[in-house]
Amino acid sequence: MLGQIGFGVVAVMLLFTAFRVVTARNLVHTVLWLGLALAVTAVVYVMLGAHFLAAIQIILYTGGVLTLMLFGVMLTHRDEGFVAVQNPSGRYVAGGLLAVSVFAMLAAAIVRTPSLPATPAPPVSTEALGAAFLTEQVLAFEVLSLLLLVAAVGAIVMARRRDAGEEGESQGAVLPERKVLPLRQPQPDAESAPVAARASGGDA
Amino acid sequence: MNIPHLTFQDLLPVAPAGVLVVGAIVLLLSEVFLSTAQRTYQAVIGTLTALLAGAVAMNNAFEPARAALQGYVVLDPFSQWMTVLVCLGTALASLLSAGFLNHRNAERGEFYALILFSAAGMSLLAMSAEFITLFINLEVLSISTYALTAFLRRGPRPAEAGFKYFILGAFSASLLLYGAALLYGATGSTRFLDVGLALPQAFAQQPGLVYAGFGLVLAGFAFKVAAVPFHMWTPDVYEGAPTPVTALMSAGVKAAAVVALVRTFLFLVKGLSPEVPFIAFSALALLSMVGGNLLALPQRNVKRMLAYSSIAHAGYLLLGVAALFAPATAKGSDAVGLFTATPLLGSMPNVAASVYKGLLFYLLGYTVTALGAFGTIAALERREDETRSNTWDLERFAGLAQRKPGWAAAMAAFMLSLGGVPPTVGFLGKLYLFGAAVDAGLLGLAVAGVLASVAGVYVYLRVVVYMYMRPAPADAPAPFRHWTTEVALIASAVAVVALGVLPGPVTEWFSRAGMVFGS
Repeated sequence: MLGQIGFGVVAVMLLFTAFRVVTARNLVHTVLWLGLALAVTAVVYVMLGAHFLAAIQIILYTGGVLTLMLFGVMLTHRDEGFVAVQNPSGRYVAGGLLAVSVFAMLAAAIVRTPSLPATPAPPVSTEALGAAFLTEQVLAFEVLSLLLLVAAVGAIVMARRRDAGEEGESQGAVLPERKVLPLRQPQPDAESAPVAARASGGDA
Repeated sequence: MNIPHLTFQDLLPVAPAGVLVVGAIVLLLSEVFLSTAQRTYQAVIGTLTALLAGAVAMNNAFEPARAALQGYVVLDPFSQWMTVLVCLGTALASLLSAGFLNHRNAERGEFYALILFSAAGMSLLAMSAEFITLFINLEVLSISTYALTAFLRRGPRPAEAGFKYFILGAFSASLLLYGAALLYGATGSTRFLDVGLALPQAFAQQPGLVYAGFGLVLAGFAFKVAAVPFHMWTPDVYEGAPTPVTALMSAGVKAAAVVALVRTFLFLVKGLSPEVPFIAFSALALLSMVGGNLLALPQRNVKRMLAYSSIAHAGYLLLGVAALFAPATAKGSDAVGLFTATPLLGSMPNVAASVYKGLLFYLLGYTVTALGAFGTIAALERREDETRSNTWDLERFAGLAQRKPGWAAAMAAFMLSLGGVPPTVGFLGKLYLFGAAVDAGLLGLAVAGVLASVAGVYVYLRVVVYMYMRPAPADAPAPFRHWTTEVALIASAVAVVALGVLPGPVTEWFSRAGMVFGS
């Protein structure tokens, strides 16, 4: 009984924080609510007996990913301050109907499932988890490292500064500019590149 | 502790993906040790890597079908031939990108590396036989395509396309993951082999969980395949992405997703009554075939029109998938209707083999045709009009036959192939696929598909009419010249016609692919 009340409290907290993540107007508030939601998820893991997963959740998500996100917000919005995010499409009715129907489907599926186990499965030890990573799940484990590499390359590709020659005219100018720029004259060239780009954009 | 023994045989199925990843890392390093501003050699490295991986996969394709790595992946001709097709598409896309990016001063090793990573993800996705592996492979494929979509960061369109693709792609992946979690809850396993074994009992005890899991997994895949009604993201993303990337998305991503879909549901259907997946796939196929072709009709923007056309082609592929799951037990006296399965010719086991052959040949045809069609569009784009709204307007093709007869002839071949007009590979692909569907008893659905593709022929012929019968406008763009683009387009055009006239050896190979693990 006590466990059920506890689960109810945690579930309501999780729902509320998740709801605030998508409704908060301020990007920083969104990230902070997300951190709370991730922490509450860790509590759910603890209640299920998955202690290792809970610890990883706190360390990686609440600790690492959240900090990264705050850094991301900080670095990308350094001039404009904190930007209020608008919901681009106001189709609340259609979205609401879809959400309600998906919820009804899942609820029906759960209600029609009489024989869920009453107690959670015995927790998997951290040792068994580590062994599974390197034996049974070895392909998934190795592909995960590939996934991280791809994500890093993709993020750099999208976030990198424009090359000096990328918006300009001549292909040959790319390489020397890129190598010399940070060493000799960082300020004037970095300033003039966007101006030149704007000028050429206006011509076209 | 029970440590499974890994052998070289276990690593054979993932070897093509390994080749692709090594090539991608070489390309990343090439950017570090760059000694020249001329980067065309990177495209050549990308192409050669893809061709090498394709050769490895082709060698694998003649191995007998079996499970490898404790049943987490399978080695069978179906997935390996699909890897060959993906590698072919990657090689062509890499060549097309060289000219396209060179023209925009945006050529970089990371682009080709991401293309190869994406191809590795497609190859791995096609052979996954376990939900966690499947999801991670799908993410490798997806994340590299998100980054490629937003690679050219000029103007609002690439940003919008990348963002839309990312949000909806992440959403669909989470649907798939949710469904897999529910199925895991019902069966206690994530390996398809064990899920298939446990499903009959699980379905008897917890039908709700199984149905919900089935529906969510299907919705997740339908997003990736871009089937109606999960197609909303397709036109915007295909239009905003760099055109060679659009070509790779329309051919490669779709091919890999269809194979993964078939593989997953070959095991998932074991517990359900066969009508459920059959009706679901038939409905998706019908909606996509009709919807894709009808939505393409009013488009004047050729790139957007080809995006809708790729939705229609997803519908034809799903028609083949529906034929695969047609219930074999239907009686001969059943009325021939849209959703009724009446075995007209042959018996069901033969149908499965011809469906696999049809799917593979159709995807081969679509790969070379879509790469060629999008490649021609890419060559006609000017970087300075990326901010304009009429960049890919039909008017741009007006009078192309007088100005550039070779280009017009190639584009005409691609358009006829997309429309399914003989003597192109598109016609034979449709013939095999629709023939297999009729063999499986889906006469009504096949007729609907043929009628829908007649509407499609109008769309494609309109481009041909513009090229050959309209005078060129004064400011008509000339295609830029770059040898890589020309090599890729000539190769595609030759393949479109040659495979349409002489399909012999390829169909012979594909018919041996009938033995598919899990069926």
